[in-house]
Amino acid sequence: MPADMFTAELTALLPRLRRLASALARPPADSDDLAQASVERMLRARDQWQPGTRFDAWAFRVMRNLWIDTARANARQSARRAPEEDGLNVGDDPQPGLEARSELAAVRRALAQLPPEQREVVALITIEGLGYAEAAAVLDLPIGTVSTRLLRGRTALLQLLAGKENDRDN
Amino acid sequence: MTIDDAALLAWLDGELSADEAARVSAAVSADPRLSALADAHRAVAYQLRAEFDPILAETVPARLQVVTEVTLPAAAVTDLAAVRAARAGQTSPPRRWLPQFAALAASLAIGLLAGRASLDSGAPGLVVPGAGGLQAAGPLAIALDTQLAATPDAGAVQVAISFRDSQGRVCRSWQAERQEGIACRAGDGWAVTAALARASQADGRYRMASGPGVAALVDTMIAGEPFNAAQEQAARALGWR
Repeated sequence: MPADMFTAELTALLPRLRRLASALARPPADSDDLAQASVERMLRARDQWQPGTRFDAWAFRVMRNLWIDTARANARQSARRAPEEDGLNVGDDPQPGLEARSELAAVRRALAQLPPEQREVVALITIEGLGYAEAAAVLDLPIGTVSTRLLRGRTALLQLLAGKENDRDN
Repeated sequence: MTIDDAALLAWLDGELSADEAARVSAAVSADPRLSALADAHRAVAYQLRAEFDPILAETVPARLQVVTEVTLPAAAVTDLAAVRAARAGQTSPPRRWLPQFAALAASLAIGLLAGRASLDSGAPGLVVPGAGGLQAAGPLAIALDTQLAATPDAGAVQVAISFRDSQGRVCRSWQAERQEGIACRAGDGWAVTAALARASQADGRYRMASGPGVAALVDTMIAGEPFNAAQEQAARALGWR
């Protein structure tokens, strides 16, 4: 594979990688940390990309796989953790901490409250604009599962945002 | 007929066939509950994009580019021959190089994208955008077509090395006053696969060896050895095929 093709694709995709990282990473985690780690992994795994296939789908898959392990571990940890510990763990805020971050836009807070499995399909389809089949390929899931998770996530967002009408910043 | 919420969302996302979409569309028009739900979903999608799309317009932070701009250690690669000698001498760590080459190549691409204006001002018309990517033009195209490597006093462009790459193309590394790079035969023209900004020598003469950047890239592309003088003349006679 020509080196220039890969690097040109990667460079051109950096803004979208930052956007996806921002949608996936829960505040206050730094989304550019995720973007940077993903770029490093892509450079190491560059031989796995097949020229002629979609570069964005491949790159999103690398980022998502990097993110999901941490996200799931944090979700399990949050579920187990006693409530009084919550304030001490700044790196992976559970919901109460997130809700208190009023400087974040309501929609960003709502997205961050979705379970990882729903957040990733909303991020890929609604924010990144992938089709259901494309998202299913990135996530290595059946398209029906993607469709179901998207519906749950989008419905949860409706409810979270409807409940916050009086609680919006600005 | 009933429309479930999943079908409604799929309709909003443009995932339905024309027939199905028409069916959902008619149902939404006829049903205030569905119509309100569709509007609510649209509003959330709009909020999400309004929140995240501005990231696309932000400057990519330096540290993300730093990752791709890691350069080779200064003493790591002096020229092609040194790299090959080193590899022949010690077989254990050659794989170590790959990420560094990758990072170097990434910095080249960034230079290309970010430095279009400086490329043009440094050497007007040598490298131009073409249908399939960057192409050689003007004095660069002429030099690549006609000039043998290491021709003394060659003019504005000096061809350094000719070789066949792993895809079977004839490629040539070249140097001009402000840039150097690699071009590979593509049809009747030359696809520029790399172009680096280059500080010109104080006395205005070209360095005879490519800098470490181009040499390292040649090494990632080359199949076999660089052409010797006879091979290069034969290749020229065949139109660099």
